[in-house]
Amino acid sequence: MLYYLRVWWRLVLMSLIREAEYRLNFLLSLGEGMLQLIIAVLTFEILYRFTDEVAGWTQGQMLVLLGIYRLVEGLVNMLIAPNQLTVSQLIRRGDLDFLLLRPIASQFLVSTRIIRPHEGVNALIGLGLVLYASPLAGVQWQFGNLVAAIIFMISGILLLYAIWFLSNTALFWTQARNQDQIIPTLFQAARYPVSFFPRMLRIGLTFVIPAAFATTFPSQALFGQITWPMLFIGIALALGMLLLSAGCWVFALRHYTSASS
Amino acid sequence: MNLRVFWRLLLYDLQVTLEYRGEVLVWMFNLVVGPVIALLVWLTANQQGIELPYNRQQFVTYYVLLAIITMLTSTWLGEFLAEEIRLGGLSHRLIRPVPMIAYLLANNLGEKLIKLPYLLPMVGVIALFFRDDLRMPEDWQDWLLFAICLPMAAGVAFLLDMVLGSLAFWIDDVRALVRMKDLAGAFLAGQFVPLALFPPNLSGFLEVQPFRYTLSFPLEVLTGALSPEQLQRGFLLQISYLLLLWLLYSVVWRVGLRKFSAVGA
Repeated sequence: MLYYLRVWWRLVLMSLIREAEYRLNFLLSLGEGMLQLIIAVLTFEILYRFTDEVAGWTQGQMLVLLGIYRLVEGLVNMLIAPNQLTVSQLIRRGDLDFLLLRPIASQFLVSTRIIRPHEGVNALIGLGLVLYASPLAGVQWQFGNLVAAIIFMISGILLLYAIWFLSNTALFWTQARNQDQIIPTLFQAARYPVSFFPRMLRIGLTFVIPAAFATTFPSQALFGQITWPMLFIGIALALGMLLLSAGCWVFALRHYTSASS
Repeated sequence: MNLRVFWRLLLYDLQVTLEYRGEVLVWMFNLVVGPVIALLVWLTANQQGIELPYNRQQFVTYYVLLAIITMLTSTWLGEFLAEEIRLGGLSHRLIRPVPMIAYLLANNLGEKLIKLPYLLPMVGVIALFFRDDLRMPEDWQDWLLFAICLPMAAGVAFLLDMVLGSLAFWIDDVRALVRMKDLAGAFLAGQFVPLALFPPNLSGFLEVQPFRYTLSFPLEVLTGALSPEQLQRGFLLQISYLLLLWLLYSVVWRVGLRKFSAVGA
């Protein structure tokens, strides 16, 4: 475990060094992130022009949810997405060989090798939005609520990682190199509370695409509406899905033939 | 440059795109997801009895057709053109008897031709779900107007990107500019929310800004939301933008080429 932490720390340092080489990229992603956020806020501004409440959510509460979405998206884009989006290349070009040779679990290396520190800024902006909107939404900052919100969010992120990684194992067999974009595209739905969607879809947005765990439940936790069973279901589900993803990875690796051999 | 040359270019792009069938399938799937999410959100508000400028049928028609119109009017040449200029790849094109814009146009049309048969069945499935509320114009004149303003919308979007990408003759990195324009432009083109739902005091601005004529206008024509005068003004503005951008492109391109120093040459 300590070994893995040490390796991860090295990866962080390496990506920070790389980051310092591309300062323009930092500004670009900052500007893009801000613009995306502004557009999302304006979209809600338009929706709440006609009403004070949609499906039980006020505009202030929606802004808290949007802030949490931004926070989650920033963390995912910093730690998870850059790795998931290169799995197909690793397989197609056979570069996976070099990772398999290292004396460390291959799933760990494949999943954590690239870090994009500049995306952390987007996460911080999301956090800022949560803090700004919390008085509008009537958030009471209680320790229990906060802890529940964080646990929900982490299980949501882990679930997203697991389903994404799981879907990526199919890349050993299929040809479409951009199929790794399907999961993040569907995850856009997390910008809205699950109660905005038809009942049938809500189940999918809770247990398959973990939009509910990543954004809806954490926001509700901050408002003091915690469904306690869900907290434990989330933890159990995240652990189960992580194990499943590991199992599928080991199975898929047996079908890995490398490139040009 | 004659039509036979262009036909060859088009065939080439068709073949290249066909190699990426799997990717096209995923792209088209991703294209459909956003409008469906937005539609479901607005229908939730609609079902709650909130007074909205659009009724259920209009929301369904708008968002079901949105993906198709988005695809048919989209451009992706801005960043590519800027990189060709910045890295000097443009030199290889300049020595051939085909103008750069012809390559980009062939690529644009070729990809769209391949994408359409992948996109239509997906939109068809969504349309089946909402078939009770989907309203298509019954008048053939509406279809005719739509058939005219759709390629013009694609033209406005295409030329806008040509002008923006050509700025790479003067600015080192226009990628940031192109991406900002893509985001803000999508919002102002009605990609996320129909322009009719924006605050009424913005309607004057929304009507004259160019992005409306890259996407929203053909959709408005198709959903039959416009009065005859609005139609007339819309067409007038769309044609003006098309001519204006063509003029701007011609000037920017010509002046830019003179300044082009071909990196690596």
